[in-house]
Amino acid sequence: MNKCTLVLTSVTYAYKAAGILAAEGMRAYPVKSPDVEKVRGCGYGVELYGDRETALKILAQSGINVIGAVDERRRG
Amino acid sequence: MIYFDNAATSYPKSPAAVRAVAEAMRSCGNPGRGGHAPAMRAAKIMYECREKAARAFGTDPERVILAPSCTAALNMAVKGYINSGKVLLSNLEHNAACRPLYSMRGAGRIELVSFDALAKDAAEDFAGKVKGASAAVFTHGSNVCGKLLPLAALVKHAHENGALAVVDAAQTAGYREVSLERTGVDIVCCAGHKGLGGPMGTGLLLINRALDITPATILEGGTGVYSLDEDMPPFLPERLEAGTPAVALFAGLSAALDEFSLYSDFSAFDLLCDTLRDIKGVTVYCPDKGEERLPVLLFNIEGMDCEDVTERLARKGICVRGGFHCAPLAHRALGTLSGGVRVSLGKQNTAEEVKIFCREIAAMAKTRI
Repeated sequence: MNKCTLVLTSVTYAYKAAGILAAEGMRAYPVKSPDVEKVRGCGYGVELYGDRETALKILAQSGINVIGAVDERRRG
Repeated sequence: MIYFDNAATSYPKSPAAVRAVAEAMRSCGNPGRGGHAPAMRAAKIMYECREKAARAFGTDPERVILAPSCTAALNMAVKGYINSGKVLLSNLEHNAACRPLYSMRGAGRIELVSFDALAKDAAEDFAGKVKGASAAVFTHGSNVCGKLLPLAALVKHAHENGALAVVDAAQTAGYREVSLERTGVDIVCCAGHKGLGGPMGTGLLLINRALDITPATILEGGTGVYSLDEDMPPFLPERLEAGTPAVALFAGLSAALDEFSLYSDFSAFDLLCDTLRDIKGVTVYCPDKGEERLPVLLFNIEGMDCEDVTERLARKGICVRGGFHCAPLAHRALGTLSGGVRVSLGKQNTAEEVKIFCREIAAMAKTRI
């Protein structure tokens, strides 16, 4: 299973994104992870278990601004 | 006890709302400030509250600002979204809308023009004055006399003239439909603790999906995101939510929204109006039966001070509010510059309570004739 973190602007958008992805049958959970902090100070995102491109497309269609994505395999 | 002061705050609160407040106090951390379980639990509660409010009012969850009161929401709306120019307000406004506007007028930023909400055709009076205005700020329903304003018509006239429409729905939320989607109103401000049944300390600022303005902030501070920036985040809701929010209270509001249904049975209020109007020496101020109205009325007993009336009623366990109800413009418009006794019903009130109340008023009035 692919796992990555999609970085969002706030915890509000993290919950909104998780809800939208869940409605589309994707597993995604709101998180505050070091991955998020690498992108923009403090922040939140969703931990995604599934296809990143599909998730990004769904969120774009819902007007959600994803400001970064960090793959699991890149973690040190 | 008979509680007829629902325009001040609804009472009693639902057991589910009370339980939710207690549970959140037991289990929550600071939302949006950490990634541990208590913080994330709090963030989830806040988001769910936004989501339910967004559904009820026809907007998106991130466009629901969780505020400490309707007054705070109105201050954010007025000072955040209105820059300058002519601003219309009605002659029934509460100080929560008037005072931020007066403050801006005092700073030389805006000019205020009043329209007559009690006119036979309030929308026509509004339409005649809105030309050239940058915004209109008006109540959806009076907290003094229960008069409802024609929301959709006023918004239409405002938009035809390029004016922003800001609505104070403190009294109507929970009593009447207030849909940003259907009416096109730009901004709605309301209390969470009146018709919506939530705890005091909760208010909502609701922004229309179509309104694409980055508001000026009136409060700056920690938001948990964009912490390295000097400015507040540019996006909602965090731009307008600095500092730690009252998570437990919004948990209560969220629980209350689960039970949300509009006030629909006006039979007790109709009985109240009809009975009071038949009592000699009593003057009642509220729209006539058949007109659009809230279950709120004002009355006075000839020869009696309104505060004396409320005090006597309080001694008998009947809760109403005397005085000016923070709405001097409305009292001026109604010609009640000595104040009045306000009676405001909620869903839990019954015809039997109304009968007891009216008997007390009749007895008081009789001693004065």
